[in-house]
Amino acid sequence: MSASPYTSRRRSAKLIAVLALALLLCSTIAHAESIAVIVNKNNSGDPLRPAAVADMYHGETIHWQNGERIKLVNREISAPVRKQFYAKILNAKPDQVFYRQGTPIPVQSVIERSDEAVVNFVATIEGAVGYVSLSRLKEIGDDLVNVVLIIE
Amino acid sequence: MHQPNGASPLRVHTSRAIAMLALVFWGICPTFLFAQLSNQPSQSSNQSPEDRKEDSIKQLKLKMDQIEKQYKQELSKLQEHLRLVEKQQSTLSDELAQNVKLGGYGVLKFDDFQDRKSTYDGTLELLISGQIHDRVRFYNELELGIPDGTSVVEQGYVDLLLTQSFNIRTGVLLIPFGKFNLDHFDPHQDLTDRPVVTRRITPTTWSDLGAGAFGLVPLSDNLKATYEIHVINGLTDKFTAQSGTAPDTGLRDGRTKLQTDNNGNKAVVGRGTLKFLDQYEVGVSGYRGAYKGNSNDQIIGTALDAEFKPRGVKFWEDFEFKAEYARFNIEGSSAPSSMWGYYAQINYHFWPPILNSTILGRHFSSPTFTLVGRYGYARINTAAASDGKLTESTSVIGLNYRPIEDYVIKTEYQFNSGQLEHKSSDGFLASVAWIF
Repeated sequence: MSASPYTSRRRSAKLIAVLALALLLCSTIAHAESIAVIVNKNNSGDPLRPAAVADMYHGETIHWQNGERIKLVNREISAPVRKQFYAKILNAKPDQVFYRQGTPIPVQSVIERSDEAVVNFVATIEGAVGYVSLSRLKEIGDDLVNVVLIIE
Repeated sequence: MHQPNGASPLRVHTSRAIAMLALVFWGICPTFLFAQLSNQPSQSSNQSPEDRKEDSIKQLKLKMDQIEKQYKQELSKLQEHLRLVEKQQSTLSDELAQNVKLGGYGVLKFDDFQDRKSTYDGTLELLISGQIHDRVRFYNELELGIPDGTSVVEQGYVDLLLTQSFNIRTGVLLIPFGKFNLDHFDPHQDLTDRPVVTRRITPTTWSDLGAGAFGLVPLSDNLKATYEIHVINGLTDKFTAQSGTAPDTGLRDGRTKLQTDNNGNKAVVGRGTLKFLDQYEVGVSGYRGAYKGNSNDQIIGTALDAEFKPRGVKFWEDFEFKAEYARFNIEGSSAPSSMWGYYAQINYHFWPPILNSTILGRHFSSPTFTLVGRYGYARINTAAASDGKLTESTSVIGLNYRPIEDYVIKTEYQFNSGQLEHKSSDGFLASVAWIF
């Protein structure tokens, strides 16, 4: 017995609704990837404001409050976490070059190619600051570094 | 000596020696035999095959434990060593990042104006920067003498970094008068030719020997103020024209060319900015200084500049707006007596996705086209001109392609009108510029 056109249309509508909901959920999950800004354990674990982190990567703040030089860690240009960090914190494209305040000198950072490498660098080098996916940080071990900002 | 059975003494001695050896052997041998036997079936015959298996397994386990323990110790040593190597590598890369950095930029220009022969022109500049100490850094920009054949230091200063809001800069300084002079690198610009106001009014690239201070003062999370103020030798009187004879070329020839001051009076120059959200910048600049060798007549300059780069705002984030106005009044001079000019420029960045699979986009992560429109005007009030002034206005339309941020191919067409530089000759310009 074949379904009536009305029933078939209802089924299609339900299917579309379910698919749309699934898509929405997927996009929400994808969107919900949080980023952790991490610093070396010897640095203060006091929370940092997004603007303070932006100032570091913009080259406007080059020393920590204790006078030590800030060592910036970045991911490679194609890394999704860099794209997200640049968009949300620096309001820029991932290949944007920033210059040290009052100079044409580009802001330099150490480029690491994985979250593990970023965590290892920040955990090892005093004065280092970097950013990693929060979920990966939990897997790697968030006791190695201080988390100073979580970007939702 | 009695010899039994008539045996020779040698034989007797030999027999005794053999007997002694036999006795010794008999005394020792059983020990060997017993020792041997204790490991042989005579003893194991007391254990069942299962017991023997268990013993073997226990022994194997013991050995395994020993090997595992040894392996763990070695692994731990290796991990420690690896950590040390990683730390050394990181420190090394960190040190490299902060020490001397050699870079440069270049540009090859082609221009074809209506009233002159087309030509190639070019510039190659060497950039050397670095840290002498964590709080002492230097920066040098050396023009390598193309096309004039003479190398020129455009910047060569050292910064003593004290606080975010107060730092000391000394050396050959890039004069903080207007935004364009500070950001004059060709690869950073979207058009080949500089605006007429930055050539004839503000004499870009303008450098001088001096000392000063600079800093950044955060006013709030989104609003920052910056300043740069210097005391320099200042402009000279070499720009002045003879009334009614030579044409004025603006202040370009008044630059010191890094020679000693022509008078004892130093000039003061500075620029302050307000930056909002790191996207909107407004700057105010001022200059004041005596320029003659034997008089206190002053050149007084002011400049205003603005740069808006909206980001994170749909549609508008593809646009960029720049403008600059500059004016100089020259005391005690009629040729020229004053000069002023401005430019306004709008950039539109775009990239048609259809080009992603073409040779223009295939190998690059974010290639960009920029459509540029600019209008510029400059006026020099001078008694050397018959009607008391020289002017020039320029309208430019251009298009450039940046496969990456640091390499650009630019094309533009200029519509000129006036008496200053390009006069009323329209022209096509193209260039390739790069920075590394």
